[in-house]
Amino acid sequence: MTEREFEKMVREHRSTIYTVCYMFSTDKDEVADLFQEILINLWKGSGSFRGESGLGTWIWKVSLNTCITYDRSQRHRPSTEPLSMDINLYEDTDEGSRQAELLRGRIAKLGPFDRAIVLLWLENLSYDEIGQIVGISAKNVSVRLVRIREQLKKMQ
Amino acid sequence: MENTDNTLLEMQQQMQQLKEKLNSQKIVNDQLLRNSCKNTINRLRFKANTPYLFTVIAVICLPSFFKMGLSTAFAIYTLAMLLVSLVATVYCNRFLPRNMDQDLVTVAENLHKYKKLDAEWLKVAGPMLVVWIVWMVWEFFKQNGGEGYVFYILLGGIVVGLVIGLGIGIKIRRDRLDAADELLSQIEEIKQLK
Repeated sequence: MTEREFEKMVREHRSTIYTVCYMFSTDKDEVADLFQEILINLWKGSGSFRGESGLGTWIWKVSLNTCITYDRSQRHRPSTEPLSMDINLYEDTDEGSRQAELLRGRIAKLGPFDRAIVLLWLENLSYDEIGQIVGISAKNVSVRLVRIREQLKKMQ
Repeated sequence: MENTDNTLLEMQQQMQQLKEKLNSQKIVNDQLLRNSCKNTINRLRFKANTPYLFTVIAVICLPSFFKMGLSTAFAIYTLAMLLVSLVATVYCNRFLPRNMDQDLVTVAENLHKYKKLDAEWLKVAGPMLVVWIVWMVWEFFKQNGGEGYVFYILLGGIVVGLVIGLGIGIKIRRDRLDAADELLSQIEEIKQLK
């Protein structure tokens, strides 16, 4: 993948990347940190991407893996130039941002893997696709989703 | 169950609203995004060469130890410490996921192994570094007999640096292990479903 192709890919999928960052972060700076970390991992993996799983699935995989395994102790590395975002769902006061915050608040109460599963489910991915990304069978995705539903019920 | 279904329905609607909002906004300025992509690529290229760079710097610096009048034993210890660190880093990095496009469970398991090993390595590296620092102070003490304010300034700096460094190191290690343990418990839970 050339640098130009990489830029184009990131531009086209930035809302997916942003959504994952937002759902796994606690403030706007962390969103920017995670966004950059995902760019790093996408670039590192772009050489070995064979297109077997589809570009969208691959981006979901890399984004979720990055956010789940991100080492929070390494935040704001001095070598990293901060990336400023034009959007700030934490501070924007419009209805869309308010609803997004409510959604993030609900998802944040779940464990990291459950957060990933519910996000993929909200993205309307099939159980097979979710299973492929998480590393469990489609049947277990449905079992897990039932448990997540129960958990959400308890949070009411 | 009705409550739950309502919650999920609401979450789906919220997700839809979020998508609409993101589609109507820029998120990141194109120029900034381009710069960030370029920075990312350049940073990775530099990072890949960093271990070699440090090795070269270490080899270049070592002869200056002798010029400064430091003992041969200390120079050998320094060299051995650098070598052990290099080997340990290479070994730990074997468990670091090379790319993030494997499934979540596999990536998290590998990372967990890496973090555990890294934390274990700190148990060895910490005392090794303390010995090195104490030895260095002793070498300087031997040279000027502990006289003069320069020695005490140096000593004070080393002690403060050591305390701060150890504090930060311990905190980072604890945070890393906590995060790794949280991931591990989730992996175990997910594996039970398999």
